[in-house]
Amino acid sequence: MKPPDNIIIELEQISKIFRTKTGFLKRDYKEVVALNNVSFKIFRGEFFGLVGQSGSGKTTIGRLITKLETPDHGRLCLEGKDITTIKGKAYKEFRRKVQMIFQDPYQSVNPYLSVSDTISEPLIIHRIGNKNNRKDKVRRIMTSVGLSPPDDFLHRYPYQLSGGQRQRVSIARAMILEPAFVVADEPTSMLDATISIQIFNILSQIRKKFDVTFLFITHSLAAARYLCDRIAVIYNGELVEIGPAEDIIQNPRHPYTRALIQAHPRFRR
Amino acid sequence: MKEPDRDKKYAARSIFSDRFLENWTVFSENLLGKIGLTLLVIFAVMASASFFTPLIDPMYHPMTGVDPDISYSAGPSMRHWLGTDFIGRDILCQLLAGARIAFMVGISAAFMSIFLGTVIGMIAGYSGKVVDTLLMRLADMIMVMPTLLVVLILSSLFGQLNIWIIVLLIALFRWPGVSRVIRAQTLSLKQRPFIEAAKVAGASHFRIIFRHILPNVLPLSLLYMTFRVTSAIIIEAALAFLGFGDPGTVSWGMMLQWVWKTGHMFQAPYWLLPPGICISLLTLAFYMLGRAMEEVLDPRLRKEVGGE
Amino acid sequence: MPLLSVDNLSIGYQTRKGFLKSVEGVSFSLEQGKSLGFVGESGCGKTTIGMALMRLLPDNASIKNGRILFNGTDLLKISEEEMRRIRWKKIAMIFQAAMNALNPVHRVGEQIMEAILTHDPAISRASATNQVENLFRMVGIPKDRMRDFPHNYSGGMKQRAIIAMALACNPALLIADEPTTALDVIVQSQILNAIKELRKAFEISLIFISHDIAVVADVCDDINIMFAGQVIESGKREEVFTSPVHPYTKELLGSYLTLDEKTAPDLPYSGETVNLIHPPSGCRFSERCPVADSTCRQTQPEWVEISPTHKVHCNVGIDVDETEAIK
Repeated sequence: MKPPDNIIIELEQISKIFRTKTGFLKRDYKEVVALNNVSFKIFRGEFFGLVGQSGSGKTTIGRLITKLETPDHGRLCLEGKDITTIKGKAYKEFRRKVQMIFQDPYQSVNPYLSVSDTISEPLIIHRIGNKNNRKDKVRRIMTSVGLSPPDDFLHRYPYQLSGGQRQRVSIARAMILEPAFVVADEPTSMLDATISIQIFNILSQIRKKFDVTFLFITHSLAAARYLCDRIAVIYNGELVEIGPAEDIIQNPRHPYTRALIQAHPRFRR
Repeated sequence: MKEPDRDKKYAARSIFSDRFLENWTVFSENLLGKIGLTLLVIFAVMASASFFTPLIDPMYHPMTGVDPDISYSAGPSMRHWLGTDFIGRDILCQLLAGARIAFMVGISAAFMSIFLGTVIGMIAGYSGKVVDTLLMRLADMIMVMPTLLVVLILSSLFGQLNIWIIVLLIALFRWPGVSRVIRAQTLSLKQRPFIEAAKVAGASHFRIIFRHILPNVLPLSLLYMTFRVTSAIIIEAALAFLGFGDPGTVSWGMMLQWVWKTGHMFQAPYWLLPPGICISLLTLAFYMLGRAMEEVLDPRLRKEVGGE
Repeated sequence: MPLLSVDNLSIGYQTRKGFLKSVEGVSFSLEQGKSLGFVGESGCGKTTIGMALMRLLPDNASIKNGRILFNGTDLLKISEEEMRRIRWKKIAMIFQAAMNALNPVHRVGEQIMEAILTHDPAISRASATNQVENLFRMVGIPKDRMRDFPHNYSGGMKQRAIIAMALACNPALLIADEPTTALDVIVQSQILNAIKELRKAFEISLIFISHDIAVVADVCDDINIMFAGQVIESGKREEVFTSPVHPYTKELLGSYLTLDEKTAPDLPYSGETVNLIHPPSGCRFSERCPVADSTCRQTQPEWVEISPTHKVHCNVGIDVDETEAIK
């Protein structure tokens, strides 16, 4: 058991309900329970995988942790401090520590900003460095994600980049502030298999180099097993199984986990 | 493994020159665009020519040009290619000056209304809830008011209005249309991952609106500007025709008013027709330009499909 | 005679930047009742081939070369009228993201019925309804869902409805382009099982296009691996998967993560995508290839036969001891 001060993110009894208006006069509500009483902890420095199919709520968890959504019930803690409702300086501080890599590389970078603009923006927002050393920081992070030599890419615009390259830009943007925690929401589901592996390897290297904690959201159990130390399986808004990656794959306990493993395509039959 | 020369080329270009070239090809392949652009160039030449005509001979000044020999409306002749108006001023010069005014009024009014409409549309779309509702209700109220009528009422209250006041009024009444469209665009952009990425990076609302949303709605704004120019020109012409224009400026509408007021409507086709035709053609030209730009901006309208 | 025989097919798209050579010199054949998979990354030309077989390429595409012999008839030479008679009745296609092909304002059963009635005007409504019920049963949709609208269906059900629609006229050949992308892994395995059973029951020949190599391995007897518009390796499923020869096939197989063993490939950064407007004079994979040499970059590779059913389009990746290179 790890001591409590090693916990970086903790969800306590988190619930999230989405309401859509229905009915003739739009007076009735249809409720979709996206997350139902979800609780788990993520330890500092680990690569934590959250596996679920579409509609399971996994993306919602990522969005709650990055505060793109707010939970309806429950508490969210970062490094032991409650961040469910924070404002002002604490909020700004939060934004330095928690970052996100989005799923769609074609939509997650502003088409009108160059690579250099996109990656340096977090530095500008948090007023880090000045014009000169920002460029250096940008170059260094670009090398870390494989956009090398950096000067070849600095002035390019998204439409001049492939999907894999754009995703590297996304990763560079997320890492430039050297955050403590990064949510990677299906970072390769829109990329080909060969590019996927490269991106996974980059994330692995980054984790070691920057000592950052990752939450890896995916629909692929195999990808989670490849990258993660621990895996949580989510189904219909509830956490059904959580444990070390190898353990989950070799000894799945919950029937849903077993069904997922069973359904995974195999080469040999 | 890579080709260093090719990558160096990328470093030198900016998105605007690259995209501009690509868009220019689409634009110039569009028939409407070609016609519209040609017409605009012709009118632009006319407008610039209007600076030079009084220099040839003072009698060619649109307002004060007085021909010592002719002091009534006469048909086209060698000295006056389109004839003269009721006090002997050259009609062609007036037409050229009118082109200048049309461009000025059209573009300024359009620019102002687009500026207002874009900013308000972005703020409404991005803020949502109360701010959005308030701004859009305001837009609705203004949109419902008949621009021409209100300006007429104002000028009858305050007397003859200066051309720039007219431009301002047109802008103040015409921003709602644009703001609706920009608001819709902003609403859809708001959901896009790169906006969320900016939020997660800690960007302020101001930064998101002006650094991220604005460049993405700007093409649409510019498109609408071309349509606004047409309505601005027509409104100014209508005002002038009805006698509420700026008497110190010679615009096509003003020319039409003079024809009418001085009773030459059916007697001087050389005076009546040119301004009317010019108004129609110039507004048509801007409209065509707008339509061609639409194809450039909306890749779905393009007739080409790439590979996988 | 094979059901389908494609000979030296080359297709390109006219784009603003130039002529994009999307498919180059592709040849393959498919026997009645068998299944052939096309695997490759996006942009490799596999969807273009599928569309070409149905002659549904967009306006700016042109077939530069080649023959498509379906039951002995060259599909590229017949008129549009004749092609229309073949489309859907003899060859049917499930397109990418086909779930969105269902009209949201018509009931699903109606839409399938319409497909049947359009292609067989002589048939009676009662008989058509019967057929639709049969189809629903075959693909595993409960009969009482026939009168529902598409939005009442889940993603997996919509995809099954699309498969039913494709099978409505009992075609000899079914072309499926990424039929399980965007579906959850559990639903995906159900759909693949359904496809396998339908194939067995009706002896339909299948061309399966996907970027997901494991899915193709599950369903197809033979595999064609594609890269940058060319087929680079071709063989029986077992041959390609257990003894891949082409460096790209190896890379592809290495990239696929399975639950069987924990693979740890450390691939170098692969570089830019191949320029299909001005393709290299040599092997198109040479830039990315870990074993390419200077001849690879300059001259086109040859086809090398590793077994009567397994061949590869490469000069270098072959272990001369293990195989007999017949040039």
